[in-house]
Amino acid sequence: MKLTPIGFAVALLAATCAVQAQSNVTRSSTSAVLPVATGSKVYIVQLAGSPAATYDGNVTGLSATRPAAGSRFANRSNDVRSYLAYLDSKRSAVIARLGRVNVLHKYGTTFFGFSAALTEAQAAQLMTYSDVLSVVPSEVRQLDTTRTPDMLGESAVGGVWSMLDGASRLVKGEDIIVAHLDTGVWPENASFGDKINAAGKPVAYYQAGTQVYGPPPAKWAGTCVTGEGFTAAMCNNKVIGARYYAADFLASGALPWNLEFMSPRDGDGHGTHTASTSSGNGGVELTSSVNGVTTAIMSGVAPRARLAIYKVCWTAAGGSSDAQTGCYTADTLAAIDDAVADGVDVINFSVSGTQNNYVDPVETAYLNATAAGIVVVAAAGNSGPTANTVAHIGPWIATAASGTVDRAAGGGDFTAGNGTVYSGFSGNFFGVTTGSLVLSNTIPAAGQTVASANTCLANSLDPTLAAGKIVVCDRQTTNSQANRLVASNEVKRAGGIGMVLLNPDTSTPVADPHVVPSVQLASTLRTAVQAYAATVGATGTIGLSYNRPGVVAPVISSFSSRGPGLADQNVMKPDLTAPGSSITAAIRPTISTTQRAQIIDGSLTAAAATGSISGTSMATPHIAGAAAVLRQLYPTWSPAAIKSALMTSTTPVKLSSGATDTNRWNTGAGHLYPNGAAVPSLVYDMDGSDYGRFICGQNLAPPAGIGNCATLGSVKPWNLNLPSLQAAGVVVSRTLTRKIKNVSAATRTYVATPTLAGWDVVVSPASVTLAPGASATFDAKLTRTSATLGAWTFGNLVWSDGVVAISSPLNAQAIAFGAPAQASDVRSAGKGSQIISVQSSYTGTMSLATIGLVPATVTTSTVTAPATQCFSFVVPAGANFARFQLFQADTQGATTDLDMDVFRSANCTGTNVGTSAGGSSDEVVTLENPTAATYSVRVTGYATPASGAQYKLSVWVVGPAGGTPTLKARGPSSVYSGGSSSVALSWDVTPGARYMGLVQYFDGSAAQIGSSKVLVDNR
Amino acid sequence: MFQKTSRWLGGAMLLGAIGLPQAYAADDVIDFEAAALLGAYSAGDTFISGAYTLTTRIDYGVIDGAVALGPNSPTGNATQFYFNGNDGALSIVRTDAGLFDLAGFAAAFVPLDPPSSQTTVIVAKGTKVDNSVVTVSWAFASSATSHFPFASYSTPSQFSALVNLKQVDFMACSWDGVTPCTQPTLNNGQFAIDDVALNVALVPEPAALGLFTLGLLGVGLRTQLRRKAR
Repeated sequence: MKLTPIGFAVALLAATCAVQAQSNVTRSSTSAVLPVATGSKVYIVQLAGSPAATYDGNVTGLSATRPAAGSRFANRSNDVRSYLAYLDSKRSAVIARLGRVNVLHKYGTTFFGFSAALTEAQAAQLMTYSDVLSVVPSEVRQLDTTRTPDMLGESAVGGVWSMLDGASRLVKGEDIIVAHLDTGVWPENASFGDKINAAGKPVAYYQAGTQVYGPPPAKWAGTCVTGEGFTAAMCNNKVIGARYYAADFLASGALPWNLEFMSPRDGDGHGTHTASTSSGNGGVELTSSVNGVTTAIMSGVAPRARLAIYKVCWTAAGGSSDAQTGCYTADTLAAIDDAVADGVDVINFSVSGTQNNYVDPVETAYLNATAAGIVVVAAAGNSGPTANTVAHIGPWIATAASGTVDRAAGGGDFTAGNGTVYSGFSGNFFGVTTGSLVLSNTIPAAGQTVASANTCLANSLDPTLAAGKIVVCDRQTTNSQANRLVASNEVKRAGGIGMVLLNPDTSTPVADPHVVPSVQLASTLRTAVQAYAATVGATGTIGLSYNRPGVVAPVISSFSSRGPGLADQNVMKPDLTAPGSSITAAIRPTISTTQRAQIIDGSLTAAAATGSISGTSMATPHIAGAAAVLRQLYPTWSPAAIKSALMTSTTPVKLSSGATDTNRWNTGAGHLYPNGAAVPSLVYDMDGSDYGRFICGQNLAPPAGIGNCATLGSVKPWNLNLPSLQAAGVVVSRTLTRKIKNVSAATRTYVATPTLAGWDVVVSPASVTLAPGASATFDAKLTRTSATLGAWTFGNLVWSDGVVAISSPLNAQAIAFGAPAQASDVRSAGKGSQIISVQSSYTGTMSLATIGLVPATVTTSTVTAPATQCFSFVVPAGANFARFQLFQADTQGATTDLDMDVFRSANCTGTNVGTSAGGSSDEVVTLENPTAATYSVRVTGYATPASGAQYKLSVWVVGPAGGTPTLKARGPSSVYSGGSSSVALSWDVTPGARYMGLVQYFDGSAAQIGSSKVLVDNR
Repeated sequence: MFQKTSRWLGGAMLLGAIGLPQAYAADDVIDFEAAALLGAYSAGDTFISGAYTLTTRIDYGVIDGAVALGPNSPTGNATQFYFNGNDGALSIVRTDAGLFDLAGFAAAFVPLDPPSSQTTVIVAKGTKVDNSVVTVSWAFASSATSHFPFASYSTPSQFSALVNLKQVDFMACSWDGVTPCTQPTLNNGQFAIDDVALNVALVPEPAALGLFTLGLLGVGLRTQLRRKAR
């Protein structure tokens, strides 16, 4: 990550120490597997049993520890202590059976298990234990920061700060604890102090002032872990705790960067930035470190919240682009566990995550944390604008998209004394400044050239002639911020009161944080301004920075990861948008290795810095801060209720044209608007068991404490009680069910107004009257009228009581015919059958045809990383599909990572028609209706044992139809419009292979309306 | 063969009208276990089990285990059973055309996906020598998920009219809370059936009984609409 710090003097000093990217790793997959240095690697082991956050009391003698509805996890209770001790004994028994292993972390609060450096044999042994649920390799995940930072801009999230909570305290996050699982904190910033100075401004921990925070809330059970450059004094009543987790990072073989700190001290700046954004003190002066001039005031969204820092993200030796830099999941799990045990209210996770797995360890821990009453906010990711890139798809998480802020390009006017207004760019927050004009090239200092004075180089101006004047300078030819700032610094030194900086070329002016009031103007205005300034008695006025006309905001950031999610598309992701482009907040200043050593030995008090960064990482803490505000205001609300209030109160995100951006895959519910969320009205509430039912509906097993599917039941994904209503693949119509709860203090009548173009939406009941605390269930029946088949339509469902409008996204996609993409059977028998469901949009007959089954052509080979191997295959004319697949189960080495590319040529050259490069050896490329040709498959050994890994490449070419298929299909005598029907697939083939086939569906006029692939693995 | 698990017994108690094993001491029990029976059957296909000939009617049928039904598989039956797809029916006659009594069976509802909102019941339609018809309906066992448990139906009193039959047809019918079979099921007539217990008819049929049609024996009946996972 590169920062553009406002504290640029420090940056200049240490510029040569900037990150040197050493990485020569080229990697096409998103999650890297760690290099194995010792023959072992880190695994996360999940054990059978509930973590304390969700434990229901089913062990004799141990009381339940999960919180009741409306209350929080009793992190300090004896019951929790007893249950954790019980889990510890169970865990120890498992570990003992492994013999000597290096255990990195033990988990019990939000995830029951441990992480350890294990050999493959040990991992395999563990998988055979009946009390082991899963053994998965730890992964490294990335910070969700863009690498194209720009300058200045201030998030303008309005607060609910003028409201009072039940204890008559201002609603600024008072006594709410916000956890940041991130890169740590740079404590010298005034955002993180607990005192104010005589002027009432926050000061850093080491500065004198008046204490303005009470002791940490009583439930707080965290601690302040000291380490390199981080002393106990750096925790206080604002930053009430700080811990760090490096075991997994170090076990990976990574070496810390030479400017990293083995402590909670921020090794990057990212964590400092997110922490100050969510919960940094209000009224912090954003100062230029050139001369200490205040250029703006900044504040966290919940400025009175307390911060708990959990450092889980590390910079490795090669700097920010080192492949080993990142946030290690085994460490992250330990931090989640501790955060919940410590008693936090909100977790901010500005880190990437899974895009397709609802029950990955980190998402599982967050589900358990949510069930314990903790609000979890995570970043959608920075993989936009590509579709289907959104991360953190779990419906329990509030997933943040990023939008631009309205001062992303600060406007500024220079008004000449003759009345002519010249509009340019300005970061002027000082004030309107009027004075006499002088051309800098007319006032060179003694011994300085006119050319130097023209661009206002250091010491080039004569102070006696510049004093009190607005100086008109040309920008240096080399257009860098440092060069531009040199000019205003010189004007300031020479006693000038303002600057007009003229572009000598066609580049776009910038709103820099100049140290005197300044405007930068485009080259098209240069001649006119110079001519006027040359006139006798010329004067002018530098205006304040403003939102330039035509600057439309918020617009979704290009980098913000887009939906829909890769898993179930009946769940809308991302959830909502918050400011994430060019966000100014506290950062870590650039330091030298010498300064690092001095910070560690205590001889240097580190500087503070602020800077602008972009990313969904920056959007996340805006939402986390807003959640903290709501948690203060409504302490009994569940995380789902808080998420509901945030999502149903949003304001529009815009397109650059100024029109509303209606694409929910960009924006989620819309733009965060805390003031709206704070008005109590209706919420779509849920608890852990609702999420459990959702997971059961996905045919997955929920975490132990959430419940098992036999008792929980299941819910269709479109009926999960989310504040967003979404229906994917609707054939004719679908009914969505929701439950709304009146959280206001009065009986109210709400009337529903659905809007969804191309659909008829009937909400029943269309009006509900609810007493305070009462709930009602409603159905929304969506029937397609004219919506384009296959396309998504985005609309709203608004419940209004005449005063407050609770607006939910209402999104639907119609299809003409619904059939599963693939049916699978994995029984080891030659004969078998599978029943699948299809949905039709007409009433009449449906006919079926089958092709296959075709056994896989299996090629066995051995590859040693980083070698590649090439295999060619002939695909005949009329083939329906060709599939090329590698299976982890067919590959030697549990941690072997193979990747695959498919080419339409014989020798792995030419047109690449498909790539699969995940973090394991499960890779698949499917070509639909492939052109007849010779194709080739390149297998790349990305990570293998030193001796190589044997693997099997499976290839199927299904079609053209011919002969008597061994796959048969039987369907209904009639299908009905909008209804489901079942189709029976049956086969009789020789056992011992993986087979594939195809079933095709035809309507009454013999037109094909769909198809499903069939996989029979009867080995 | 049926697995008499505790889950199954639980279902039996819920229905409150289910006798215990004497029904299985019948002359014949069609258990669909023969390996040769495994497979799918189109309308009109027949297969033999013991002294009986079975015919798939209207739609298709499948003999396989629960795994074949994936996300909608019934519970409480670990072996093969007959699945009746969509709106089909399963007919049973004695291969020797003799008369028989129906003594019991086990069945489970199998929902469509997405499910219909309609509630159905399992129906045994007995046809006598004089072509008169006796129809008896039972509620399916309920479920909070898309996996419905098998229930056993064998209370002798509920089968007293299903005697001296030349044919019995199993199908599912709509249930509006009062009367079965008033609405088309629109492919929602799916069910799984197993362990059909049959006795060779011993007693000539009293003529009067041939006109007697029993209605619904709905002890413990609940609507599937309410039990279905939403």
